[in-house]
Amino acid sequence: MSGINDSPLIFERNTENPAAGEAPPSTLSEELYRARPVDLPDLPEPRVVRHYHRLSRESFGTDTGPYLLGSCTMKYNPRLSEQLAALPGYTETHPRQPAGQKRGWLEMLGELHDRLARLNGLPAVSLLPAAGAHGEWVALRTIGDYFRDQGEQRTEVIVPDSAHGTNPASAAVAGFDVVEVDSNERGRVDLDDLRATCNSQTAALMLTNPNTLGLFEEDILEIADIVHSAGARLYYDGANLNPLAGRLPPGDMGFDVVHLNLHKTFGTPHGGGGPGAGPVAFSEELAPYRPLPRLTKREGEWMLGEEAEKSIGRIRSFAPNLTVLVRALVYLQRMGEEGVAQAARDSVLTANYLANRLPAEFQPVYPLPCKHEFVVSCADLPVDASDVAKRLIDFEIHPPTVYFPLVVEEALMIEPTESLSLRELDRVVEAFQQILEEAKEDPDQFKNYPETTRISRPDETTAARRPVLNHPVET
Amino acid sequence: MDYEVPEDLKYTKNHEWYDPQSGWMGITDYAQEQLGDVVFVELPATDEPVEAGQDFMVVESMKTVSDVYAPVDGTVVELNEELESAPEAVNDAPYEAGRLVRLEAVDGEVELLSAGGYRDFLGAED
Amino acid sequence: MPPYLGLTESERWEIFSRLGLEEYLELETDIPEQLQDSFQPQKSQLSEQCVTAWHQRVAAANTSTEELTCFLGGGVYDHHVPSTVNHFLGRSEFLTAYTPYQAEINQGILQALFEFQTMVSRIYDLPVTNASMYDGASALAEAILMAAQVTRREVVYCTPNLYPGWWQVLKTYTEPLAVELKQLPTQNGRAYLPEEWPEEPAAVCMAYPNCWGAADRVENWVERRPDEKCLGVAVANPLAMNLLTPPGELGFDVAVGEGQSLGLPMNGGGPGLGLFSATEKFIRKVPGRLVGQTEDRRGNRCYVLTLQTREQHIRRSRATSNICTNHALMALGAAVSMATLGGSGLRRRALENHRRGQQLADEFEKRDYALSAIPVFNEIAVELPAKPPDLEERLAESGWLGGYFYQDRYICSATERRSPEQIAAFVEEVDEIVRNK
Repeated sequence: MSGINDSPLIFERNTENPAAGEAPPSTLSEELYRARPVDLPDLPEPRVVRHYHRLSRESFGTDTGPYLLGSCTMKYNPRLSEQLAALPGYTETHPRQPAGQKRGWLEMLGELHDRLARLNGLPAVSLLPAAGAHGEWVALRTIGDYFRDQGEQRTEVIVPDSAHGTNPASAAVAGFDVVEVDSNERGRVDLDDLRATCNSQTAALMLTNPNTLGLFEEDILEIADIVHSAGARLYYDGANLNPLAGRLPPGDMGFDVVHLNLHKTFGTPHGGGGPGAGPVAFSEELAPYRPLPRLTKREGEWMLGEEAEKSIGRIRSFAPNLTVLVRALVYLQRMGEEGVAQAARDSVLTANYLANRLPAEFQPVYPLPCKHEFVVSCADLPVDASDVAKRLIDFEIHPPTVYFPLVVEEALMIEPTESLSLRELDRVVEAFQQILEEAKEDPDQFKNYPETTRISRPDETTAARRPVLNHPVET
Repeated sequence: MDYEVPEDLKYTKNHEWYDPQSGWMGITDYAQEQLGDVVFVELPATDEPVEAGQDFMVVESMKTVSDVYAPVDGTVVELNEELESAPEAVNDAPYEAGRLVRLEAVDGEVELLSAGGYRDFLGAED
Repeated sequence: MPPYLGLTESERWEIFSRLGLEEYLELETDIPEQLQDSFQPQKSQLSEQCVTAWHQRVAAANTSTEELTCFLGGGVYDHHVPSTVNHFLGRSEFLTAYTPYQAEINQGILQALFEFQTMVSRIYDLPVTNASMYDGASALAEAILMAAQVTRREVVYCTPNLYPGWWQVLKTYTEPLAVELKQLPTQNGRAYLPEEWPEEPAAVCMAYPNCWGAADRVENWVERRPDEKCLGVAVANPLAMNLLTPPGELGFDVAVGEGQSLGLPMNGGGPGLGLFSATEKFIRKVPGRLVGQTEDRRGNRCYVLTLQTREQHIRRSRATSNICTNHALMALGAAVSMATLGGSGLRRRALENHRRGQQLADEFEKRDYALSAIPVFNEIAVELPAKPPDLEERLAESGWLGGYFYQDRYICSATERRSPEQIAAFVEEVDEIVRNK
């Protein structure tokens, strides 16, 4: 197991064992007393620091290099956000402090609330959800409770076949049945199929616009009309808001409820998987159902209301992801609304640039122009999408999303974001060009890529068949 | 592509095979190829009645989760417990070690394809 | 020009030129006319100086625990955060990284999360731990949903002794899904298991420490569980588990909790860290991301996200959980904290917290106040003869952040950060105010 390529676990650096055999405190009953302390290593601080430092260097962030992951909007995370989110007036506060001791939080939340409400074109925003999927579920729960109040039995949620997996999953957890609607040959929602699928059972259509193929649903006003005529509501998955932010509020497109991903569109860091935040904006009609506690303004002062009859209820242990919200606000304050709009335009510009300049074999599946991302298919190449992705790693470029959306074979979903410079964009193009040449010349070599990393091609199948999820205690 | 289609078995359009003699069923060579590496088989409970065409168990591969449909009306009477520790048998030997469950069929008319009929069906699919 | 864009103005023009565009709008043939120019930008760009001043003023408008000595608990606690934690939370390779789907370039994050899973598994004595959830209440809700799905039963018994707000979270999650929540009986602040069960529950949930600072009768789980199929879910403070018998050893199937007490900043209550651990039996049912160990093509040990077929992006509408983004960075922080404190350090800290709780209780008792329950860790519940409306204010004037009222009991907490002198002085102050001396 060990050798030059092995990375020792922190448990393997253990030399000490925690104190055992001490007498239990007399104030604790025997059956509740843990006689054998937890087996965790005792290490001097320098060793701990070196361990995690080494691990940090084996991680790839947006600071490290270009990140082409589609629908993730891996844009630059401002340093100022980090600095200000660390203010002790923010971090050294407790959620159960009386309102009079949290005036700062209330003002911060209120400012963010208003800015997000404006950008969405909807009057009320809940800042509580911890992530996009959490926001999706909140939005659907409010729709469900709304219809129950109306005395309407609507059990179905419609999701496009190109939708991200959280959409149907959130609908299921919110208590709905999921129905799919087809895409047409232009990659957009098939209006005829939508008309056929939308009926009195439909609670909502969940839509990402632009969709996961990076295509703007040009018929969005017609779509909104079809959905609303059937008595249903239109939900916006904000994962792809980046190309429209500051330019086209979802509320103006006819959406009744929107979730945002602050860790995408609004530049809060991804943290290796979180925490992010998934605020939800509501129409006037759905606003009464938003979760508790909720922000309200009374005589110019923001307050947090703990009671509201129609609310779906509480969704968090204690509070929203406050320090994430601070970061998003810093981003918005620094960029200003014109800046957010410029970022949106740039995100479309860089995507179209790449789409135009990549070799012909990496043609976007749907005709240009695209929005902030586009999808190519590797189906006709001598190597598959995964091989291309793995080779990009050797170029120190984070690969695009692979095998998503499901509707495209051997898909690569590419989203450069507005954070890349022209030189970086050209480097991406060059990388793809070289990979193409390599694929034509020697496709078999690809199973050895990446070749510049310590680890190459982990056996994911065995990991799934015979999972090893922790390191056993060494006796 | 040449898929194994044993002559003495019956087949469904959902790519299950069924042996009327023994009552065992499984998924076909074509199905395992489509699924990719099988990582887990969620076996159903025994003594549960099933209807032909009903999804009654699940096979998980690396890339997808697939429903398995009962080929006939009947009851699940025996499970291939080996699959718990070796789900890869479904890929390696879908008609033998990778078989899924044994059904006790209810008498009745069931529409199943012969080996030839299934081969034709596959030809049209591909 | 706005600050966070990658292109300079001349690069923008270069791109237009290469694409044969005169202006940006030529790219926007897809947006219908009625929707163009929909938004009129108003809020202007602010300088770093300006934004900094704004946040400094606003953050100062909060009263922090640097200004008041904290005796407030209820699920979030004022623990000392080791200095290594914020350092590594700030390493931008960790901070700005995406979910480690591309294993080869993210072994650092994957290994850190694998180690985190291991640490929490050892703390709870349950082998399957996920790579984090949002918080304790949603983790508990997800445990309940998992139990309902696995057992196909609809009733769940849960301790009423959860932190304020948690029960409501459970209701929000279970309402649309035909899962009925019922309360366990409770006596002297300890929920207990009845001799008879009116129905076959999907799960039974107990907490220790609970919201009163006491332990539900968790030691009875094995002998009094309704049947083998019903899941036992323990809501357990992970720091306390360094001193108290862990859920695995008590026969529970699932443990959930708030990881903030492992040594993370309070952050006003969020982001925190949801913990979720279970027995081997539920390995393919647990929600959230899982990091697994494997080998690469050269035989090197390495780590990957695994069992992804449980997750939303594959199961889609069949998923029982929709969690995608989690709180990975907080898990990393907790792991760094645990590594820095070490097994002995965590044990010592747990003991200190227990002792502080005992001292807090003693100080109240010697002033003739009755405790509502026997405390087991760093929090106590006291019966106060009066509930002065200005109690918080007056305590603040003296530099204290006191406890909170819940169902007419006064709940306060003392962690390892509180000295014996502070504890005595605090209780003295509460006594003075309450008895109007």
